[in-house]
Amino acid sequence: MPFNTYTFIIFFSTVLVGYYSLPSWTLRKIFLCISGYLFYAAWNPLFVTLLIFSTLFDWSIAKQMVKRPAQKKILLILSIVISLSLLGVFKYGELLLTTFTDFAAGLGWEYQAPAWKIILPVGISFYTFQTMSYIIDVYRNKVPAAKSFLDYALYVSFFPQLVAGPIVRSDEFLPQCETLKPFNLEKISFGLCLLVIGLFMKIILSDAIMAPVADLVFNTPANASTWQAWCGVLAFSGQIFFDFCGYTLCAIAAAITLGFKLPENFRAPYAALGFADFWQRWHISLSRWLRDYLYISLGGNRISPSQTAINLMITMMLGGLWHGASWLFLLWGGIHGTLLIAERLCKHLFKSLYRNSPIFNIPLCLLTTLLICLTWIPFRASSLSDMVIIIQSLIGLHTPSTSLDIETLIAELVFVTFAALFAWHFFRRDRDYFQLLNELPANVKLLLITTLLLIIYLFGGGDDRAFIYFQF
Amino acid sequence: MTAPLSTSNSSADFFDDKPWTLAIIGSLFIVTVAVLFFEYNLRSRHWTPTVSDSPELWAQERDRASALGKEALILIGGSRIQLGVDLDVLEKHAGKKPVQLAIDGSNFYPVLKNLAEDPHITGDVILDLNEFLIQNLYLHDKGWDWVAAYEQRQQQPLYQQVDQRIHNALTSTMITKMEGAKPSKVINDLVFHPKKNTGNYLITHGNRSRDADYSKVKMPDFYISRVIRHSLLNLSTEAATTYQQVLDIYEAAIPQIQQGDQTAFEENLLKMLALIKMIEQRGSQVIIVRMPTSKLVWKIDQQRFPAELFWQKIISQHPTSIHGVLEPSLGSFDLPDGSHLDQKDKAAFTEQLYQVIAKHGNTRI
Repeated sequence: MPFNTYTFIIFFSTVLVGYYSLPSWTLRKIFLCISGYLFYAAWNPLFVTLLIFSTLFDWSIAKQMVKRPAQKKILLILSIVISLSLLGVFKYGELLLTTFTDFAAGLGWEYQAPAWKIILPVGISFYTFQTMSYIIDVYRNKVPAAKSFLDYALYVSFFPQLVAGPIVRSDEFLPQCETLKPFNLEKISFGLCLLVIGLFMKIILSDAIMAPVADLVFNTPANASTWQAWCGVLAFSGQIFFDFCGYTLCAIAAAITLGFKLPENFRAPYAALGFADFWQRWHISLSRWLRDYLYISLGGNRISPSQTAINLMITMMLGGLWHGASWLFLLWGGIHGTLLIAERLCKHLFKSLYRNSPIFNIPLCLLTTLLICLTWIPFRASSLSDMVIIIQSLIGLHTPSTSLDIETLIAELVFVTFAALFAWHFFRRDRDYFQLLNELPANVKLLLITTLLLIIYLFGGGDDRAFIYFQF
Repeated sequence: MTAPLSTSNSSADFFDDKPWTLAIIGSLFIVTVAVLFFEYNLRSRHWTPTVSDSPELWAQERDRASALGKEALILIGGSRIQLGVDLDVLEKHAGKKPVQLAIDGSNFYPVLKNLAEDPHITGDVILDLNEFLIQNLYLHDKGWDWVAAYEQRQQQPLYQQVDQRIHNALTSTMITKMEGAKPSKVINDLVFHPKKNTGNYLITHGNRSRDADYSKVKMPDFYISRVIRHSLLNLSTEAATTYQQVLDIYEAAIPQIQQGDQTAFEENLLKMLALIKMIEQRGSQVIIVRMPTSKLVWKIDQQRFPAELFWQKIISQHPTSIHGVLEPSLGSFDLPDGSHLDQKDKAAFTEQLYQVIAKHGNTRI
């Protein structure tokens, strides 16, 4: 169940009370495991079998790797093939089928594909990547195979990060399962306050301010004028940040209340100085995964510049495809790959011009953010033709037949909110946000949380969009 | 991608042993007090909580109609039956479980078609219709959209079903959450512009029955606007200085209203009867009820669809049909806007309606 539902409030309150009421650490972990399966079953009880299968399978593979070191490689390949096959069938089956049908039609062969009735299990990309990282790390002897099945099952099913990350490494999570988490009221309160901030980002900034404008422009791009197209692009850029960062914050917050720590997933991404910097600030747990298990496995940047460029392009395109079964995601990844290669080339050619000064950083940051916003167009557009229309509208090459009904006040709110987001990221780009929150005086904390709760109550509701990253 | 990524944090788990309990407990307390204040304030201004009559709520009741089988007594039609029939009174007399599937401002046809095509529908049906709706059977309205959404919907995830129930419970108890409106708008309209508001006259209950309290609307403006809409005429009333003069202008123009298309009516009546037959073949009974209209609204109805021509055709083809005006015990109720019953008459009207239905010797209800 998503965090912004009434059901989650009831579920989470029950889990919190039940968890701290149990006397032993083992019982608490069993309780959390069961809670994770219930949380997942709230979408579709059948999907839980997939989660349990994935857990049991990779647990056994890791055990076998320890028992039979000579067959480690075969076991690794087996695990990866099974994991990617599951992902392939559930996530990419339909795309492959329609592409094959189109290809066959192009060859003049009339093939009518059967209707695709398999539903994508929510969060499958996240927990599959998580279990894959565990197996690869065990194979590489970077982490030992988990000693306790219960700990490993909890690592896979821990509900705060189960369906949309952050993608947690086993060496970040499993050690946390070793000791009992004492009841700490201040820490639980801190987690709950973070939850309010995360929900504010999702319900107000994403769903109430940004999403309606983004939906209007991207759903009917042919009717968007130049300023409306810009407004729509900025709105989606803001929406996807507030939506995903808000979700991650809720996940971190829920984990904190239970005494666990999840890794950060965002660090002022719209203040990035270049694209390599952006990928160290945006969806950090995914880019870390792609870097460690794909890019470096391909050879990384330790070989020739041309091979490095190819590795970057493969990594980014597969990273794009990870987001969903659409050629537009592949294009999005390809654009990011191209930008990263271009940036490497520029850094190499103009090395002496790079300066770490505000005069240099401000335009670089603005340019990076502008280009990042533009790359969201293929990510959000429903089709290639829609993407082209929006790009044409941005540069005044498209004349809409009718105008979109975007209220001036709402459009101004989008521009102001995005400008504030950019300024906040830029001026706080290297600050630790959690530390910043912790340092607030007690009365400011009270004022902040009260204001956010009141705004959620007064302006939220009536629009229950799902978290964007659930579909990935 | 090339530089090392860092997810480490200066603090072990983002928490710095600083006090936060006051912030969360204090803010929850303040927000609760604020919400209670808004609720109290609005209640003192005669506002009443109401659930949002949504496609999701309709779908929930539609599922119930199938699940109840023969125990169901299904009501379909528009706002007149939704406002005019008291489900508790009906259940008490009929001994069956009423399911309200009428949709405000819509034609009965898409719902009737949906029920006819579902073999699980084996309960009895009370069908609210009027002659205009039969003539315009395929006029697109939200009824078509709600039924289409129901037929195309996928199985709702479990959490959405639970959330829907919690949402309904909240909207039926909190005024600031009513009708899906954002509390900010409701509070702005009701607290800061109180003179414009005298309370909500329409309330929807969790079982989708509705109450209209016409003491909360401005009369005769409300009635006049109903007459104007119902007449489908666009007359100049600039010369009128009183409400009565406006009504006189419209009354004088009633003879200009063209009579309905008998051919289209008869063709559509047969289509409707075919659907009724499908339901009846499963052992169910369908009772047609033409809900009452009064004053100028009834005059307009009579001009457009004279009962001796149009109603006669209905009753000759489907004897278990009841006319809300021609049946004296039903036609005597006061309809404040000429078209709908006030909440205070709802129970009494339902009693009378049940008596009339029972009078039809061949009914089982």
